[in-house]
Amino acid sequence: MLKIAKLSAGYADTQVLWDIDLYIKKGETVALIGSNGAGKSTLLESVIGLVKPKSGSILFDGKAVFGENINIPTRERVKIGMSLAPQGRHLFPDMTVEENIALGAFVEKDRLKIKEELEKMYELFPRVYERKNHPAGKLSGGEQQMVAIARALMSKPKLLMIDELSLGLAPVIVDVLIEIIHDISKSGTSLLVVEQDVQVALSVAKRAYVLETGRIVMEGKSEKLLNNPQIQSAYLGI
Amino acid sequence: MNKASEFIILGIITVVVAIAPVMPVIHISAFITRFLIGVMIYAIMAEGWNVIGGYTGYPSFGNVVFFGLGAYVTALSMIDFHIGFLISLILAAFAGALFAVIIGIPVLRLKGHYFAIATLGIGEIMMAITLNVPFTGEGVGLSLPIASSSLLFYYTSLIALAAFIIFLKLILSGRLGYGIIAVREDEDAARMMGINTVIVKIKAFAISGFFTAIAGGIYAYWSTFIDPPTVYDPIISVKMIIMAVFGGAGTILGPVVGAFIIMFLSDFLSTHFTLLHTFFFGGLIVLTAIFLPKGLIDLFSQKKIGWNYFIKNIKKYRV
Repeated sequence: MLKIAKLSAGYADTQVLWDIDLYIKKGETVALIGSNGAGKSTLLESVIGLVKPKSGSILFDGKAVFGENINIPTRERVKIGMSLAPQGRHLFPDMTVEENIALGAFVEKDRLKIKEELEKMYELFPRVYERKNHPAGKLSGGEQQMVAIARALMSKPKLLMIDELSLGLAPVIVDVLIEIIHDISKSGTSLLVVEQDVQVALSVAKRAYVLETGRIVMEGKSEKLLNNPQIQSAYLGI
Repeated sequence: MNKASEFIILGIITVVVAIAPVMPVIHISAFITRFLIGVMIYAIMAEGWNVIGGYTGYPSFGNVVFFGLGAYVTALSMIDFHIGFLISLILAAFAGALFAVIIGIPVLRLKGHYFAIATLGIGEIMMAITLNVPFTGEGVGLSLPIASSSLLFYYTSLIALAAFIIFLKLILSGRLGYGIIAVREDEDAARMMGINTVIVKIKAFAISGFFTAIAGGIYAYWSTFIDPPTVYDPIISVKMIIMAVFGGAGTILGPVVGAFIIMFLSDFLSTHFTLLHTFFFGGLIVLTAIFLPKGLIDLFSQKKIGWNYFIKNIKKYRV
């Protein structure tokens, strides 16, 4: 589904990512773990095309979206099935919840299809339905995260990327979100979830990557990583 | 805005629109006709600024450039090519839109203050060019033929304003409208949704340029004389902004209400307080910014207006 090879990226003079290799199989949920400033968001932004990498390649669904002389714009990447629920949610604060979610389907021109998809989102997120006419900026953090995920799902992505799933949210809400991630995964969507909380990360994903100062330092099955002494001392405080 | 207040405003507008066309015919007064033409020309410009500044969130300080360009294209087309007024206006409109696209490609990459300053510069550049190019009459200016009746201007500006409002209403309920507002609300998120933000911004700027140029064209023929310092005056840009923000930026009717009230107050104050009128006028604008940051039109969307409303506004927008 997604294959990143030797990817390096950064902003102006500062390099953030070094030689990243990462893959996601069809229908798989993969977690990306790392502390602040490790480069997790930059990696997701490179995949969706908001940041232009310096070198390397990104293959999506058998198609090169970034490589030598190739750099497909974000909107084309959304059309072929990538989607991002960004860090900090980035909702449109003065628009209603419904407008926010509907905008996720901007690449879809058929209004009926957008409506159908919207109904599905309300089924998946009943709490969001109750708030559909509220301005998105007035929602609680957990509700905003739900709206952000719903909005990202509206373009019917083959790969959904979520940046900081649980950051700043109450544990009860995090549990709800984990359940929702499982539901999304069951429907066949591949997921790449960025998460600082290792336990959350490893409970949604079977496989995970560990990013440290711009490099992948570890990769493997979730249970294996949970038992890794380095991970335990660095991220779990054990 | 809630249903009831929207209904009231629409009702008022329907009445005004129904009565307005017959007003000059029944000879209310030449003064009022003249005043209303001025209001409508400014309303078109304020609405034009509103598209790029209010809805898209790009505060242009150089929208006068479209006004001046529209005035010059109309004048030159009528004087040098003997083309009729209405066709000249249409030419001016497309010239305004085209010019918006050309300058939009570089300046719409800038944000916030940088965008404001860059647009301010463009107005000055155009004034300098017009002053130095022979076929524009340079600093001498251009004299246009005199129209037989001021009713022509009354109706052209009324139709242009009405067409603009209807057009804007249609745009805003469609894909482009959502794209435009998404850019204002969060441009990065708009890109993530797959919105081509560059194209969306350029289209918004082109709409702004299109209608503002029409206002310039009507003004040129109406005033029968134009020269660069008059039609490229940066104060005109400032007026558009004040009217749009005073009435309510990012709302369809706000700029129209703003244009009417600001023109009225400015006329009233300058006749009654010749020397002090700028003091009252400036003070009013400062007070609006503090107490009514969302514009006058926002008052209509409130169920109850009390001190609480104003106190809330002060708290909301202070640092």
